[in-house]
Amino acid sequence: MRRLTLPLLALLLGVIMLASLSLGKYRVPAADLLNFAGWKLFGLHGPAADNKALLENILLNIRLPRILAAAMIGASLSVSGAAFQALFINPLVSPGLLGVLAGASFGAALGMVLSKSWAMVQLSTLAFGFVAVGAALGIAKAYRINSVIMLVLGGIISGAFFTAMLSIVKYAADPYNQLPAIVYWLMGNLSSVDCHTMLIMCLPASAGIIAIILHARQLNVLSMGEEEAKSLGINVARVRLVVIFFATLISAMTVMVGGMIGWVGLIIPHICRMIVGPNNEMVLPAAALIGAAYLVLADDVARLLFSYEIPTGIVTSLIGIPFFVLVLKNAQRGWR
Amino acid sequence: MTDLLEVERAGFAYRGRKVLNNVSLAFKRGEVVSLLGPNGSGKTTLLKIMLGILQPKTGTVLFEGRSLKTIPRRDFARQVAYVPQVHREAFAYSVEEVVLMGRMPYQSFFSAYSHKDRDIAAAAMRRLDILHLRERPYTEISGGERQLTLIARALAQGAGVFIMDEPVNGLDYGNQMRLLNGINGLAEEGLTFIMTTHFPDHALMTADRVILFKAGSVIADGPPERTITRDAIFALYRINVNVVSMNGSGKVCIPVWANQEHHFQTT
Repeated sequence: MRRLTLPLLALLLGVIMLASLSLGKYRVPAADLLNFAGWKLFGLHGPAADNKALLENILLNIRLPRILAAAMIGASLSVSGAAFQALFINPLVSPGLLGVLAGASFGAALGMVLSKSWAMVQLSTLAFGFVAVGAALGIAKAYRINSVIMLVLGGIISGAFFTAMLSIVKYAADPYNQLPAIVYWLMGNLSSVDCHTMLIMCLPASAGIIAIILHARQLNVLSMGEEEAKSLGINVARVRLVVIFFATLISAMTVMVGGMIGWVGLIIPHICRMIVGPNNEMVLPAAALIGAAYLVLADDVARLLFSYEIPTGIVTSLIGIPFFVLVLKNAQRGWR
Repeated sequence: MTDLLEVERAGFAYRGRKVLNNVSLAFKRGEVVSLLGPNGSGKTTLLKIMLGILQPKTGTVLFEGRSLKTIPRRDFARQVAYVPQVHREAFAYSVEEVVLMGRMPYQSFFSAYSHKDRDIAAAAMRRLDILHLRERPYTEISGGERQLTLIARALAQGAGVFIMDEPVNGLDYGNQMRLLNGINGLAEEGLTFIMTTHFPDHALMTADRVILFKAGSVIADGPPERTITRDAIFALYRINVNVVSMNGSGKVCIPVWANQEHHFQTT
């Protein structure tokens, strides 16, 4: 049964993604989807000629990038959340712990105010995600205590600083165009995802997710405490730095592509532990699959629930908060 | 023959407060050593320095004649295992998963735990009679069982040297005695034990060498019958004891209340 868990989850993700392709204002029935796929992949006869261009535009240019982006973002946030929970030995930690989300949000807002170029906005988002985490590590280092608690404090300080900086940028922004754009961005939504953005994100995000999953056993040992991990032959400082680097990369990319999408990184790892147990060799890949499926579904809700689209970040928060209340009961058990 | 572990004039301080003063000690393979001393005397710090978890501010630690700093962590972990005080974990790993962690120093980056690793972990659990607990969450078993799990992990590590920090801490009397008896059994197989304890009696029961610690310095070092004496215990703890020889079952320390004030008087 355990052997089958991950393949089953992968299958579930596949089904959800395919179903999401057919869902939308313009419904594409399964038969048409099949026809279209047959035409695109195998050069079969395919749909009626006048439909081809329409379907191609809807499916390949609009829905597919968005669904893939949702899957990537969901997987990234869940995996970095699960990794941080092991790294900081606390099941209630989220990927923003070291300030990456605050930094990236500030970077995005700053980019929107200063530059017309979307590429610059994306670059600034990514860069300030790293700056914020770097600041957190720097603060921890300055006290020469390389302990978990100093890292957490460094993250709180850095996050608070960049949240304040974000307020300054908002205050300075032009209130008619820039400010609404920033606010809307920070609510977290995937409506502006296009093929290009998706392609930029795809490679580094997958690489980051895989790199973290490969550290699963090291993370298991690290979650027993720093001293024990050292005595079991783990290079604690290096593993910590590598995992933080990749978690920062993939978390900052989620902000770059979809703005602030909350609660996913905190809740999905919990669900995964309920399903596959606490071993990170199972939790991390499960988090990638379930996180991806969850965000694709949440984005479907955001697209379809009302006659107009609502930001995906609002949906994840509205689902996440009550769920967190339920999960807390389970999480307490792990708390000292 | 070079000593197994050598501490040379090690000094350590936490934020300017000295906890170890130029401590020099050498340990041989097969020894069972108890470190005895009051709270804050530097025992645990010394253990962590010998494990390479803490770096001494002055002096060096040698393992088989090589400086600890030059030995890769993984190689060292195959030789020396750390059994920390019993603790509760944030994540409910199964007993088997915790014991398997002892195989970490043998893993390459991409491989998973092999059948051999699992067999070794099972053998370690069987050795400590906790095989029936293998599927149980580590967070939900008793303190004694948790300590046995950590010792099984050290066994699975394949190390010949066990460094233990107050191994009986938090265990009930039965589990304490079973654990000490188990340590004696493992010692007979040639394993080296270096452990801290708060109980002179436990040192008398297990150790063939006792090191007394006070204020960061060694004040006595030798076989238990010569180190655990009335004067030494008074020097460490300011408690009067009689060290009594029991027919055939070793020695015990018995506190003598007669000449002391009752600080906590009962009515």
